[in-house]
Amino acid sequence: MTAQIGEKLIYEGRQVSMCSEPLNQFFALGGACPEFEFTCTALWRGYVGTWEIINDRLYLIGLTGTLKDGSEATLETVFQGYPDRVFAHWYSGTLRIPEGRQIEYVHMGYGSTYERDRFLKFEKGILVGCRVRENGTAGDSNSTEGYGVGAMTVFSRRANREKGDQ
Amino acid sequence: MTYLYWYLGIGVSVLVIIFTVHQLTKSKQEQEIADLIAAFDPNREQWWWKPLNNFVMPGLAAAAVVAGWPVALYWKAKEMIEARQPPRTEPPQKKFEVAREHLQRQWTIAEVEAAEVVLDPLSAVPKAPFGHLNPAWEVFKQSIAEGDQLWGFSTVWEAEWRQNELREGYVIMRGDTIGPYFIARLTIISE
Repeated sequence: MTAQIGEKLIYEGRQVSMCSEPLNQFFALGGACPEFEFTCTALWRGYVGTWEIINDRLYLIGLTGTLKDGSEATLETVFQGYPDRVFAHWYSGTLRIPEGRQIEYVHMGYGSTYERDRFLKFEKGILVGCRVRENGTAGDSNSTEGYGVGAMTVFSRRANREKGDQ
Repeated sequence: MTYLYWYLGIGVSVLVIIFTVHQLTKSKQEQEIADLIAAFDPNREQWWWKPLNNFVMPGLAAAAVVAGWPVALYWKAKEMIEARQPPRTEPPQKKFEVAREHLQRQWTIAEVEAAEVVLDPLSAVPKAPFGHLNPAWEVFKQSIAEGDQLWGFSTVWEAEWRQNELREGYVIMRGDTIGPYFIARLTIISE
């Protein structure tokens, strides 16, 4: 499994990548889950959400992805009537935001290690705690700054359709 | 000394055989995965990476096979035998169930719906029980029949990848039988 593209979070005025997928809980709790097209080994879930914290509340403010029928997914695909902003009240847990330079690259999920991890703890979509864990110092000054995925295999929609036909 | 020459000679033969077998049996997919992993190595831009990866490491591996060929032979034989055996099947994932000891207290539908209304100052949620999860609640509510009791539950469940989750919600009790449930909150406990 390739390292996965993170969800985007606008946090304290910066856009960062996070190694958590709060929308998974929505789907697990019975929320409507459209069929996303899998087009890339670095994006098994088939979508990327953009999140924002306003007044300690977690909001989903954007969703990009492609559906099985070829149409583009938006926020309204999942949350009808809410095209701009969705309060993530279903989310209780801890978001992990890697910071600093990469110490170790792991070619799987969100396994890579960075100099720091910022953990934001939420209860019912409301921020209740924040802590930072120091993981060490990257020995190589050329190593990657901030979370990212180095490479991936991208499938064309045609290739995907052919796979589905088999 | 003759024994040493014999030992090293056998080692070289073993190296040639293992290399040939590997070349004949490796799949294209394995090579692609290896290439992809190599492409991700953050050190690949360093001047020493190519000579180390392409010459030094294979050279050391070859020397290790020649020097310790009985071990290399054992591992290669083990690998080939294991490859022929049917793949091990993972035990089926346990299905989540609510047990009697998870029950907390009895609720009425009206109490639940009053307690679970979600409010948001930016109006980014329906003003309804369970907010964006209201459609799922409405489906669950249809399972509640005359005479059923509604109970709240809370339990820690070990989900996939040994991830512990606090699962809280409501379950239908039919007499002494535990019926359908609705998970209202799912909190991942371990980071």
